[in-house]
Amino acid sequence: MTNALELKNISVIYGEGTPFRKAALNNINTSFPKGEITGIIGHTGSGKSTLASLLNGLSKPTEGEVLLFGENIWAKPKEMVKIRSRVGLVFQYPEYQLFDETVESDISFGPKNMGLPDDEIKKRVKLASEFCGLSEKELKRSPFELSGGQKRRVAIAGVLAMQPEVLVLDEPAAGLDPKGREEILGGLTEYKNIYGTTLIIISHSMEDIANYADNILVMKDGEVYMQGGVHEIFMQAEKLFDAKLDLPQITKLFIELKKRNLCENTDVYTVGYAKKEIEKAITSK
Amino acid sequence: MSFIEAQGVEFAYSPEEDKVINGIDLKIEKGSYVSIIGHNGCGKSTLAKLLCGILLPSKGAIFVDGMNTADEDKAFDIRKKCGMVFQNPDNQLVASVVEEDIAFAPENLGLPREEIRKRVDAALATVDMTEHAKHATYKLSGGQKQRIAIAGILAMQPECIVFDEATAMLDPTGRKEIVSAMKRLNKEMGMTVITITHYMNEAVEADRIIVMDHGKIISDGTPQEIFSEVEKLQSVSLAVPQVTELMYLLEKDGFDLPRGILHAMDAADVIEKFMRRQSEND
Repeated sequence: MTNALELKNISVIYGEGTPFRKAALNNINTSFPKGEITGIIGHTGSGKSTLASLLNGLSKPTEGEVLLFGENIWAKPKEMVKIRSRVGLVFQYPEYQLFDETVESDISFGPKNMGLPDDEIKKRVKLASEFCGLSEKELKRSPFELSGGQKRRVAIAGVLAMQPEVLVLDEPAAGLDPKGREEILGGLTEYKNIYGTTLIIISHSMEDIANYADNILVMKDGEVYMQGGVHEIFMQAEKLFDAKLDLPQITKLFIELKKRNLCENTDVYTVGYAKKEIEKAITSK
Repeated sequence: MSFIEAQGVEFAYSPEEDKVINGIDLKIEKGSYVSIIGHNGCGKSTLAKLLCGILLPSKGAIFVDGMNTADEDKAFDIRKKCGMVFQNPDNQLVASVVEEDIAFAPENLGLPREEIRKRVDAALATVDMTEHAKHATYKLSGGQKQRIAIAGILAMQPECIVFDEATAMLDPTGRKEIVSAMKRLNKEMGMTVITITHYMNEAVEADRIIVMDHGKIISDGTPQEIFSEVEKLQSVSLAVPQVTELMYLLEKDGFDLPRGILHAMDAADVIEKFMRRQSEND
């Protein structure tokens, strides 16, 4: 398995040499497999967003290396622009960053700056807006007339239109209603499945991570606390609680059922799978 | 008259635009714990702002403790009665030290020094942040910042607090902190709590849930009643808690299970009972 991104001995220290010295990240070693979705979870202040800002060279680690397909992204600082079009970063509340007159021109901004020809830009805008669930009609409107959920889609489409190899999203679904969450995360998953893009998603929603991620990276106090497949991580309930995290509600139910000797399996994270397990338990008794 | 009463309220941000609130009649009793849910753009945040007099209705009227929110002379009295906590903790703190931030509102009310001190200490104790009184606000976690924002409102001694997606930016622990603060304010201090949220696990903690769609109220009832209508909620882009959905799907497949189950523990009880019953029948 190829790793799209790899972090080696990464530390980020704020205020070095002052009494306010604080290690936001402390000796991080981790990797993000190509073509998969890695979910990053962790309490507020655990270093998730600092980590995200390292991945496209937006900030520079105090120590350590960030490798993009094996190459150190800081080897040629002058070529950082190229790195930034290969690794797209969608910040928290990206809708605050919309600026252009129409949705279409806002989404075109990234590809335009990459120096692409007009017809290519058009194609990319169309593709990106389709995956983000934006209609032709909306492309002509001002982004400021749209609802919060739609603005969010425009902002994500703007990064998607650059067709990065790695897409890092910091809380892409925060503040959206359940259907909006499903549409955005589902659209991104579909895009990834077709184009083999590597996705890194930061989220506070254990349910969303359970539904969409392949791997999970758990951060705690600036360090990698746990890393592994979805099942592997959610099996360790106590350890997650210690990191101020939670389990999907449905998983809690199955842990309780196991305690009462009603059901064996506890790695249940989605409602569909839960239904099958309960039916199995009922018919086997 | 109820503590908060909306009568035939309509609202549009400008006359040319579509109405965001489209005919709402609503009564909220003093000391109740109400959750408002609905998809993005359904008008729930607008309604919340109308209820505390931050926005004024284009048509109809809203009364807070008998005072019309459109009455300019009463604007300050209404704000004192009804405080609001917003989504982003970073947008709500004004001072760099925790206790100074909380003192901001009572200072503006022109209260004497001793009274301010008393209120600040009491507010800090209520949100369990006393030990952080002298800390810098920017160094706190999201959950802690939101608790300071709540304390800032408590120091005005309101009778009602409206939380507009106050937990959306918090981690699971931060969310739990705020929800338990809401419960405490309501159950122990008798405060009226109105909370707007996308987290259904949070909405179920309220005593009453109001569901909005297209600027109207489409359902109003207890969490059990509201979450029994899974299809109706799904039709307005809402989800139900995972265990509620599970029980609903099983019931639809012919298993004799109750609807409106909200918590994992209750679901476990119901499933246990069901399995026992079944093995007795066999």
